[in-house]
Amino acid sequence: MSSTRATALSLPAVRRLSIDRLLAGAYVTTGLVAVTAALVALLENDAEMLAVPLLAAVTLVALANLAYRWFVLRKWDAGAIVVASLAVAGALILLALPEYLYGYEINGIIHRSIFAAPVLLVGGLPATSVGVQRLSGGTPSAQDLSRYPVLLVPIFIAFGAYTLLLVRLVSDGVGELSWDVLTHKYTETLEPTGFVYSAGLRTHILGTFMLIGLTSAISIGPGVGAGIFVSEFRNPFTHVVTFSTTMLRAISVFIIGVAAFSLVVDFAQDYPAGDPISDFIRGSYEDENGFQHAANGSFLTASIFLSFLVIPVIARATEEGLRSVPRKIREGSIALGATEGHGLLRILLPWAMPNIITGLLLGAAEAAGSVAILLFIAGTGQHGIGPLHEATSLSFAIFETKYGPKPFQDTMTQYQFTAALLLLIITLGLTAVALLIKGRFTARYRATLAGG
Amino acid sequence: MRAWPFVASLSLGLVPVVLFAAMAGMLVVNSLPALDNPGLDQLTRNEFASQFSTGARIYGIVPAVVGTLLVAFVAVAIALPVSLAMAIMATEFTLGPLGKLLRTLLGVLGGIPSIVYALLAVVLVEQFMIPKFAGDMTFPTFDAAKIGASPQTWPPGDVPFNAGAYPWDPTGLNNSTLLGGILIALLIIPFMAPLMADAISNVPRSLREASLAVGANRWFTLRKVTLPLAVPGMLGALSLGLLKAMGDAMIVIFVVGWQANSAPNPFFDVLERTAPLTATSAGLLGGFQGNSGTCQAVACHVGYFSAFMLLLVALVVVLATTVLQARLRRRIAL
Repeated sequence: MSSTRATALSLPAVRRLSIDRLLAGAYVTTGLVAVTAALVALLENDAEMLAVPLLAAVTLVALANLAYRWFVLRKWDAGAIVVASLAVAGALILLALPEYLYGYEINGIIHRSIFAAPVLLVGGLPATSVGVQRLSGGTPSAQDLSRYPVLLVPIFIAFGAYTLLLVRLVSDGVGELSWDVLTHKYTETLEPTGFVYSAGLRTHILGTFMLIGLTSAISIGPGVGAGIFVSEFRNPFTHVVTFSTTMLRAISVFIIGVAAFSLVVDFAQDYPAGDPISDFIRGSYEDENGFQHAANGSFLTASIFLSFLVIPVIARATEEGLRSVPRKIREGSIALGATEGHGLLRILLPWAMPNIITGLLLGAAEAAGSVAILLFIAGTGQHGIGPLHEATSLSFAIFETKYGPKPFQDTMTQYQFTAALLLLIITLGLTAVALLIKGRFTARYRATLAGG
Repeated sequence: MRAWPFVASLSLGLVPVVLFAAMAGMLVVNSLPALDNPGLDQLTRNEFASQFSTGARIYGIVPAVVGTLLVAFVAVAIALPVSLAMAIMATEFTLGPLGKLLRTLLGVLGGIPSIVYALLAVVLVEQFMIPKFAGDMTFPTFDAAKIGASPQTWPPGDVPFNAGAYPWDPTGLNNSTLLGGILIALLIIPFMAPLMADAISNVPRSLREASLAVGANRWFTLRKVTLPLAVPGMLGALSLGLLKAMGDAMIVIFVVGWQANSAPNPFFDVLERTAPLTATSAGLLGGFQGNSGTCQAVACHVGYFSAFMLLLVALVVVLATTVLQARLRRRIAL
């Protein structure tokens, strides 16, 4: 076909192939450089200087491709025109913009680099895609390959943000971490010279574990029960239970906090310290003179409200576990004459156990990190640990460094990153164990169940 | 008489029902007086002046509603494309072990509590907000002519960045709605992405394989077969993410603050601070004192009312999603 159209510009096939690959490589290179510059421009204002030259380079490569394809291969290269026009339009937009945009009473002046990043992406990504497609042969599966840059860039930006935040958390948190902070508790003592405050995270750490333990103990029964009911029994109540667990999951955690406020502050405030109702709901502490005071809310109350959060998680996990029981195991147990109760206790629940434990751990991690529920019912953690003592946790300590009592803020603000780091270690530890159980041990465990 | 498993699981299963009913009832009972005392008239005003600012107390919750919508919009607008890309990457376009790694990473990131993001807002302020939306304005060497201010008046006296003297206020960027939205997006990405991945992998294998068998490539299959069929599941993931974004309290309390005096003008100004419903409610209920909040009767009722609005929003979103999902499922039924 090409021999009939032989022109002065015709090249031997081998060299034509290499020029083709060279031009595709140029696409990929300029495109990737533009994408990298876009990512840098998200953090560095000065990187916007690179935008116009890089877009010009992309345009040049696209034009070179267009020319080569037209004059040598006699093919109309629509992709190159799209790439070139996108790059030119982007460059023109950037050239037309002043360094700062402001006006319309918007509360800030917008730097040009915030436009440079998307413009570079719009110019660079199509170039990379077209280049990858050409380099890998232009087949349909090459098109698959060429979509990876488009998918990878948003993921890369998101993980960049996570890394940026977590690196700061670790570096600042480790800086203030010491044995003293971990083993002492925050105290306020009245000296002759006035109040003396000393920093410490002990009660907050222990309080976090206390909340995790109590909440798990409270929520495991109702959670598993609701899960069994929804998956094993069909009757009108099933929908009611499903709706309630869905709604408990869907509503804001903050609404549970408001419920806690309503019980602890609105309701229990009318009862004096020493009254059992007040002691159970609000908790109590003794001051140095032996007087009984009512606290802001006990660990028990806090755990009960945290269990609102955990029950639906466990219910969902139990349901999932029960649904995955193979039919033959179910029918086998019935065929051998097992009663409903025996089947549930000996067959179904053991099978669903990994799911239940996973749900419990994930729920506990959520409970440990939740502040919105403790918002109104926790304290600074100077009154010790116990089911009826004043609730506190690491996450609440972080909150208090900004909105707590002034002395607490002054003493503890420097440890807020340490508290956050410890909280992160606890929650991520729970989450990681849960994932491990879910991913690694479940299959082996169930194989032994089914085999034995 | 049923066997004991039924009785036991029914009585335990009714616990969440009772909890939810009690909570909803409590909110309704406590928020009804708000319709009486500030009255619906005042509640629907675009003006809010709460007890910690002097002067008249006006409890309009329109600013808070606008704040909720803005924060949720910013968060979902960022989180949706990212989670979609992650979901595709974790299911259909796995790159070697990368898909599995991504799933694990998302699972681990999902365990980060929101208060940690709230605390780390300072990193984004330093690295993103100030450079992008104040530029070098915060430096003494700033050339005022660049933004049209006259050089004589720059820097503006001994009250730097007085919001009254200049329409823009770099210190306000610490509390902007945009910052809260970005952090909430980071919070809901690990939550939405696995749900979306599940939605994609729940599409029957036979359909995908049929498409591949007749010669379509993976991208075409994804676009024309898998994604359209996964839309109902995606919608569920989106609505859960939206609810999480609207219901988040800690990030907005920490970053955006307790109250907004009025809705931003223009309404899309995400660089303004516009506290959402959660933060406004917490402020009214006395949460800004850290603990032992005691609130005055009227403020308290408005606080409950704001929380009740959140519950209503959650109900509406859940119901709308259910209805939409049912319709879509019927349309694409095979």
